[in-house]
Amino acid sequence: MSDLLHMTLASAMTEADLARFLVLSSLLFAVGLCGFLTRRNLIVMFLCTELMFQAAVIAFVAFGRWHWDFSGQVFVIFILTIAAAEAALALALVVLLHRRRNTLDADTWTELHE
Amino acid sequence: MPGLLPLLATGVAALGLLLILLPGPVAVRRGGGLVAIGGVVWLMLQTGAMPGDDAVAALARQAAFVVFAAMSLAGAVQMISQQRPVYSALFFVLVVLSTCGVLLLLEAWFMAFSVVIVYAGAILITYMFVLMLAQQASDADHIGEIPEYDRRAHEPVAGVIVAALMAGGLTLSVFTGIADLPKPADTTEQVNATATLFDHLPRMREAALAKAGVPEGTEVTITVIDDVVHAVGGGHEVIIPTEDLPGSTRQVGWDLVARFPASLEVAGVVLLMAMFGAVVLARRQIDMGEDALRASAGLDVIAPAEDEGAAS
Amino acid sequence: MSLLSMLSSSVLTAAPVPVADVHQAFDMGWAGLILWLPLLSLIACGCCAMMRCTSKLPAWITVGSLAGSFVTAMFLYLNYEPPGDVVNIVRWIDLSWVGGGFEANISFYIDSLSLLWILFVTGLGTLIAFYASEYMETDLGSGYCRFFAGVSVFLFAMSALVLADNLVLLYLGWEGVGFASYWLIGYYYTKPEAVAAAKKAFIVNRIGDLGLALAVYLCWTSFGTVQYDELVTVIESGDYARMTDDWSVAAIPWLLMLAAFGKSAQLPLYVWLPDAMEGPTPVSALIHAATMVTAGIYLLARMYPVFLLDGDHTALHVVAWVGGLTALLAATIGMAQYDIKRIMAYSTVSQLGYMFMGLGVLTTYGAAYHVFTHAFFKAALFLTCGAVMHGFAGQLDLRKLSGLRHMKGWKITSYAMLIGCLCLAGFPFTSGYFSKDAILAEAFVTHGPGFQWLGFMALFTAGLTAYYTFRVWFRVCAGPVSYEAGDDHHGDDHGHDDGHFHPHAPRFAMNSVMAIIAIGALVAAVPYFMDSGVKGGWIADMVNDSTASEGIPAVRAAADHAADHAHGSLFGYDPHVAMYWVSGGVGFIGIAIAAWLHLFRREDAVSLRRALLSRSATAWLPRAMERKWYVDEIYHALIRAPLWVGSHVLHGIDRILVDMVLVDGTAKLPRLLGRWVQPLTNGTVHASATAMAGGVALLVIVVLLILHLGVFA
Repeated sequence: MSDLLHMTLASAMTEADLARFLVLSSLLFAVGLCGFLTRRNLIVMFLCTELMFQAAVIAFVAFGRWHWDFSGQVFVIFILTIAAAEAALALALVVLLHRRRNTLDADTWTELHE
Repeated sequence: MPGLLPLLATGVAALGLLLILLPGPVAVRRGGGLVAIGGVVWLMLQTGAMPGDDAVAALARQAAFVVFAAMSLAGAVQMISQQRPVYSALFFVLVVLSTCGVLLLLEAWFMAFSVVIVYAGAILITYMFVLMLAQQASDADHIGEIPEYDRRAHEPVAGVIVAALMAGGLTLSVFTGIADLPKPADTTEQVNATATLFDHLPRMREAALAKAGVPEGTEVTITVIDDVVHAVGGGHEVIIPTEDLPGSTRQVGWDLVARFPASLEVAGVVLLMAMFGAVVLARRQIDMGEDALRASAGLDVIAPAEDEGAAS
Repeated sequence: MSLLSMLSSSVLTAAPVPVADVHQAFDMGWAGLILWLPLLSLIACGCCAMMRCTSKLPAWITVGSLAGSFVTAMFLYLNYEPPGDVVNIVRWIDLSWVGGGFEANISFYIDSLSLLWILFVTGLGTLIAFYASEYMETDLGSGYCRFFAGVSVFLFAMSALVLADNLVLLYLGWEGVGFASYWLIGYYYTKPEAVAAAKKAFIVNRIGDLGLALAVYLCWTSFGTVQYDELVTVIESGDYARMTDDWSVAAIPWLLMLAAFGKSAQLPLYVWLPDAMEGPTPVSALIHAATMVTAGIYLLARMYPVFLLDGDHTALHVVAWVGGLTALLAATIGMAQYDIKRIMAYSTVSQLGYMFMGLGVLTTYGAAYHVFTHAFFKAALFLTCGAVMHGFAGQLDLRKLSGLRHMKGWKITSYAMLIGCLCLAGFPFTSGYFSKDAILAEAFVTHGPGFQWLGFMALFTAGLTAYYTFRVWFRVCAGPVSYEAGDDHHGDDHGHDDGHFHPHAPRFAMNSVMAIIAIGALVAAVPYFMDSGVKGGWIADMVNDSTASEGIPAVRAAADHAADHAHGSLFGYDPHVAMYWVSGGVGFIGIAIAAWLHLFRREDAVSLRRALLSRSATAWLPRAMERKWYVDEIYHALIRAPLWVGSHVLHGIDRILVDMVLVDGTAKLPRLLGRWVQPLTNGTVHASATAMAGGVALLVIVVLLILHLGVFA
């Protein structure tokens, strides 16, 4: 495994490599979006947002590797931060909402009506 | 139009996903899985058709990538199609792990492991706690029964269409926009960047120089000759081996601290506020009337009669 | 009455009168009375209907005004001087100030041809209206008013048609008579057959009317005018060719032909006329035998110069052959019918075929003469048939009537019918004999594709005509007395009071009209020998003065061309003289066969039919003839069935494509969009997220398509 990894060290990425990672990233993002839009369980919906974060992580790192610029990975750190904060806040909100209606169904909340 | 093939492939994959999500026989849902996998493989093969890839190494890399990508996508699909949220969370762990594999292929060692630690270790545990909390509270009378909102997807058609559009748009942007990117950093640029960072890290530099046999106190200049880092000065000219140069973790750390210190501070504040927020939100709220609130705040209770008088 | 006055007038014109001065002195506006009197009568009949008049007032009004029309026409004739005259009645459409010079006024084109027509139209119209005053008395009340209003409309339109000085007014009249025909065929509007017949007549006529409308239009574009006098001038000058390309000029005769075949019931558009017999019999006599159906012949005669433009006369050859074939076909059908009115209808179709044949073989005067004589003898036949129908409660089956002439009160009817039959059969020295011979002889001597055969065919048809005509007379009027009442019970209540049926014989009005017209039919032979400066006498004079013949060089040249062999020989004799013998002989044979089968040995007719039917080789003949050669069925299969299928297909398309997709679809589209968008606004997180993500995705795709693929560039 490490040989495989080292083979790539300090060599230029090809466009095909980058495209592959980015396509994987887009698909993961789309699947996460799909889950967010179709699942009704609030917790799973937030899990799906985490999935979309994963997709973003891959894209950031892939672009950072392409440019050999590590700020891509730095932003992954920020993503982790936001994800953690979001997990804390969102889950707290979920608990709150669950207490109100005694259900995790997102469809019971229609207050986004004007 | 070449750009439409990726759209078509994502459409096929979306069809498979739709078959999985729609309520139906198991065979159909499995067939949908196959269709989705077929669509994804088709899409990936299209990336293989792009110029500039050759050699066995590339093939191996591609093979490893395909494994990780397939794992992560399959895990993701399973995650959003599982009826029990706990399974969803577990499949999310699979996704995180395979994503880490992908990050390893991108030589982001530190990121790979920190993602595993933070996500699988911290965030997922939080989710699990909340899940158990919610499940315990809501299903007290029918334990083990999957609630209706987990069994039936919300507007699967609309969701899949939007997701397919999104996937199509993103992949289309990849396929159409990749040619416009600046050239990738080649070996020279990468070694130059590493050498520059090496020059900025005094302890690592001294250790490396000492290991290379350069006496302490010798004035040396770090230069790159033929893509190899040399230390030149005081009659010495030594090669600094790759393992003594800063790896990607050091480089990330340097970038984080040297280039984005303010952001780092802000991230800390965000985490702090999130913690406060979580505490405030999750606290059991006691519904108090207006009078009680005023009383607890030490204010006079406003009587209705006075209210009228104040109004006039 | 009409004939006598006509004779006297023709004698009067023999004396040269300085007509030009007379024209100066007279204000010719009074000629408009021919048109206005029937119109007044129409209004008066309408008033009668409104006042719930139950007397015979509408009849007297109509008879009076039609007689006024006739007298006016007579005055016109007396004032007539050969070049003809245009009398402007009302300015109607006058666009001469625009520069194109389109002018179509309500003006009369008074020449011999239009005078010939208007004289017998108004004359017969008056007589038949008088006849109808008795015939229709069972319907006294609103029906009576409606009937005479229809007759007035018809006379108004027919006068406009005949007297028009331009094609547009002619078209107005053409449509007007079609409408009147529809009105009167459908008179018994509670009878489904009558309604169907009216619709059939109207619809079939529409086909012809389309031809006329297009022909008028092409005349305007090709010749730059629709007025006859200018038309003749333009054609004579020959500078029309550079006004337009050739095809439109060449198309005019064919379109006119279509129009004439529709109105005058020729192949393939004749099917409406036999059905039109559902109307009251006076209507059949006036409109569907004597006058309206000759409008087609009038039209072709009037537009004859256009037909002669083509040096080959192809259009005229077609006219001749269509006429000949129609004559034969209708005669064979008429032979096998049992309804006497239908037999007369088919004989009308057949005789109209003769007239077209006459036009086709370049004997316009023969055609016009046959129109003239036919108007009388066919009117007489129809009126007598009407009398029979009236007296025997709608009985028209010739097998159920016999020996009418021995019955009290039926003498005039029987002998009027005999005279009509003699004329129709071409019995020597009757009017029909001369007029038919004029056509037959020309068919033999005129050069044309197979005109010899056409002649023999027409001769054979003449024999058939004699047979079926006398079949009717021998069956109905001769033989032993026996009768059965029809199933039409109106007007014979007194006949049923004492348990069995008494026929009621025609009274004064009907008898007098039948007598006058029958005598007229006989005397109609006389004009052929009057003013014998030209062959064909008075009639030929009347035609030759008009556009139909000799009036313009083209026609004169054609006539000269025909003259090379006009004095050729038939069986070694002068064709007309030879034809007198041949057609007289053929007529005798026909009458003899009819006498054998239908007078002396009636059982032979039945056994002959049975014998024919029993052999499979010959069974088709009587069957097909009785079924009218399956023409209605063929039309049904060729036109109605495809139309039915097509209409259902179109109906389906209309329902599915237009109604469901376009109309309902348009209406449903917003609802559908709304239903799609509705979940996006129901306030859930999902809805907002779907809208947001979908919008972003679409935006991304659109931007990319624009930027990189240049889709919308």
